[in-house]
Amino acid sequence: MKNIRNFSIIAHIDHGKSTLADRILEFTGMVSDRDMKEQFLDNMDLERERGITIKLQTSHLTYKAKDGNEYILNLIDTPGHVDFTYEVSRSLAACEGAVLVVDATQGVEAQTLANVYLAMNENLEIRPVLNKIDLASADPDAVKVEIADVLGIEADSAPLISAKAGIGIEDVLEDIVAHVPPPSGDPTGRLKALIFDSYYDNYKGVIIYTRVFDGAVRLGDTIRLMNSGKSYEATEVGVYAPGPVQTDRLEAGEVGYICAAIKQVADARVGDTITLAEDPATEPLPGYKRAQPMVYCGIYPADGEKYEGVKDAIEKLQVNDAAFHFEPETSTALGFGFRCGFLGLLHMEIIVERLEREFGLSVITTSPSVIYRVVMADGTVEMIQNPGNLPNPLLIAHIEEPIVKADIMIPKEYVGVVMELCQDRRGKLLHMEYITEIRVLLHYELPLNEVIYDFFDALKSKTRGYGSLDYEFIRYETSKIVKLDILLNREQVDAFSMLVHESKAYYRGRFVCDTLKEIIPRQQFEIPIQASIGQKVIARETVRAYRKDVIAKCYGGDISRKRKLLEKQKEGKKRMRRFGSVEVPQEAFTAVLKYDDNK
Amino acid sequence: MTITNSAAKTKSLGIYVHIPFCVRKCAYCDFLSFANRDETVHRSYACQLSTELIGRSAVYGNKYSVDTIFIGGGTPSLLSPILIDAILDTIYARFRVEGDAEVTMEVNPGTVDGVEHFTELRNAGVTRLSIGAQSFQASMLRFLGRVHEAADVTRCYALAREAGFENINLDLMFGMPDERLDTWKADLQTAITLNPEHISFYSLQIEEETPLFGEIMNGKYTPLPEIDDRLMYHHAIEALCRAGYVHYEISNAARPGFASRHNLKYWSLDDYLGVGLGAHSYINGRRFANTNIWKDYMGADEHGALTMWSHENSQRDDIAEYVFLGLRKIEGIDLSRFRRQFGRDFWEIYREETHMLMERGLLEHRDGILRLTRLGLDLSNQVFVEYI
Repeated sequence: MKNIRNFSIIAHIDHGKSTLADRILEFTGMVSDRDMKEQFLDNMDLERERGITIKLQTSHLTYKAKDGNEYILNLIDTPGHVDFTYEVSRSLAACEGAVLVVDATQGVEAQTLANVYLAMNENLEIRPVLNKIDLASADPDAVKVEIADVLGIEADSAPLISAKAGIGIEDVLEDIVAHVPPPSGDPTGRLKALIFDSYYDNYKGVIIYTRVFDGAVRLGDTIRLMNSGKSYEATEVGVYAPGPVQTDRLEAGEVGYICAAIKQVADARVGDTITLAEDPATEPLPGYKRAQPMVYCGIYPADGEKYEGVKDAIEKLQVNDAAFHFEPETSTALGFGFRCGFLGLLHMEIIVERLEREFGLSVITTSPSVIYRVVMADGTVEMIQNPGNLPNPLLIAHIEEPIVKADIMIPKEYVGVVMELCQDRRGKLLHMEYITEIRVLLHYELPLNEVIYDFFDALKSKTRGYGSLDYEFIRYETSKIVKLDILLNREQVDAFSMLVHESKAYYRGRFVCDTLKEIIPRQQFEIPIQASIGQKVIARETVRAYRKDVIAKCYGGDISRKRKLLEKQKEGKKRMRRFGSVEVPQEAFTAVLKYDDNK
Repeated sequence: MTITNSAAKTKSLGIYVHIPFCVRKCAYCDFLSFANRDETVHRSYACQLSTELIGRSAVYGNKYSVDTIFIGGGTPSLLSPILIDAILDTIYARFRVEGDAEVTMEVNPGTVDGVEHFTELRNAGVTRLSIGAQSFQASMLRFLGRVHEAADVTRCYALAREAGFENINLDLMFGMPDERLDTWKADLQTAITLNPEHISFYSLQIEEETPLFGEIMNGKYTPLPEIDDRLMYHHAIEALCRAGYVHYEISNAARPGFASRHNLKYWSLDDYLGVGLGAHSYINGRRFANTNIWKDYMGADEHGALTMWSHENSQRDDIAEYVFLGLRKIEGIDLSRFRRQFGRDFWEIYREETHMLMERGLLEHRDGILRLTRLGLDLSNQVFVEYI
């Protein structure tokens, strides 16, 4: 055990975590250059495209250190976005140490802080590393001071590296070997192993990534998951190097995988504890939480007839994503579809994009909603995440909305615009601290429903990309929430309904009417677009009827050109949904979700 | 008697000859043409046309008899009548041309100086003129970027009559920005008073990649409101019918018996061969287009690869085109003829779409004839998209 080092790499987005992971794999000879795709660990296309790690990967590496000993390094990758805090915390719980990558040109960011706090909570040895040292704008001395000041982590001897250029990789490995403590634990005790990730494989069922703390698990053991209470037979155990290599056992201190014919990842929830059914541990490992979606939206097949296709795809995705919830739902406007729950907006975008990309489906998503706590006049409580399910307002005593604590880190010159943004989003400033002379950390309380639309995008654009954000749910708070309905040709389209704060209803209503006016093509008759709260119309626009739609001249027998024009027109028609007599293009559903402050 | 037999077997063919030269490009025009007045260029192009015609005639010459020829552009009247004569000579020499063939040529009123010009064209074999009048309003002609003035139209028309042309079309345009209904009415009245056999009346279309499109985008002009455009269109139909013209296609009206036989081929899925730069053909179930690259066209010999693209129409393609082109004709399409032509029942293919369009008031069906309603004429694209 003394030659094992279990560690994660933590960083703010874009600070170079995945690139460093790739270089470590390369350096330890685990991946040949030829196999090396850029950022090997991020193996989903989507992740590679966005440069963020969503699904965890892990690797078992051997490294011959300068002290002459051979070490086993278990690199446990972590996802890098606010939506996945819990998953990050469980990955960290599987480690003894964390390599903290800080961009030497940027310094400490909001997620650096958030991740360091998570690592501190797990009592990890945190080893700072300064990346992008080869860039002209790198200022390692200043960043070292910042790390010491802000995080209280001594960084004088931190390796100076460039993951991209392959500089200093060995220093990082030596630093890990020297400073990250070896795992402790009782190899003869009762089995306690932490699930820190799992994914579904078509042939083997769920593959559990696990860290064994006490005891050992062998091929053929009957394992029990202590929180779910379910038992399975271990059909395969092994390590990822980084491809799967079967072993006969995993024991205390080790990191590896277990297959046990488990049908969906929700049954092997991250954070759950594996023990042996015959001789179970008395207590599970601490820190387990049920997956709790924070954001909901409706997902509907763009073509109503593709319901089965969407259902299949959603089921397949859920098998691999314990945090993704869904249930069937019907909309009068959109037909049969699903109400889906996500950890956050990014999680939602990822699922929608995967549906479209991996399954070739075209889907319509409805306005995302948080979960409101609706207290009825009779004292009962309903949790509502679908505007359509809001009870009759006369029966409601009050509505509560979720509030998050948001940490926003920005260069000081943006304090004004960001405060304005937060103000506009109904934020309450708790306090403001100067991290350094030029960097400010704003602590805000914000209603989650103000964060889920485009807060992050707005923050990025107002701070020229320098602002960073981390948030967590803290409580429910009474709020004046109203249901905003949209009527096309005097008929309510339920898919456009949304729950908004009273103070925002007018602007939101205006925005939706304006947007729809631009996007709904003119038709044979005039189409009024109205936004209303209850019976009261608060905004109105009209799509005028078309009077003329002709190709007047047919030139020189060029039929193909005319045909192309008509085909283009027809293509546009195909992407329309019919509501009563009104045709609405699919883009309308996404367009009304984008809320441009500058409009 | 074998001769008669073989004659009965030959199908009729229209030939379109494209002349891609203009004095200058009009603001609204996105057709294939160049501002070029160099006679040597004209001559070499005419030679190349002959080369192409010879090549094409080897394939089609024996199988078809030509009953319409249409020389369009561009501005064909920019070419010396000698060259027109040479081109027509090639056609007469290489194809079987019927005695009463309709031979149309487009004329720009600003390019003809005397009666001799027309006389020579008549002698060359041209039987029908299509005069690009467009408007009788100086402001509109300027807006359109035309090279002629209003007076040129009447002068040109009179010269054509003097030379003996008995089948003349006037092209008119309406729906220009700032155009008023009363001036359009006056234009129509002027045209009707001239008493041509045929009048085309096109609603101005703003095509991308034209100077006009740019001027609209940058706000120099505001398009005429659709409702005004339609008032002009409806007025034109009424005024022309009142004057004894038959409205026979969306944008065309003619004295009885003077509908453009060549253009009717386009709308009836009949065969036509297009020669010249970028010209389009539909022959024997295949659509194809010549290269639109000058150098390539000029470099081809009679066996040369002129074709830019080619598409073998499926029956489904033919059906769609038959319907959406046929419905451009005011008389509509005859569904029993449809069955004879395709061996399939129209309603089996298009029941749902057609009923929907009838409900929307865009189509009417009577006695086995399907046609656009008055509203359908204004919104014809809405009808056509349902059939492709």
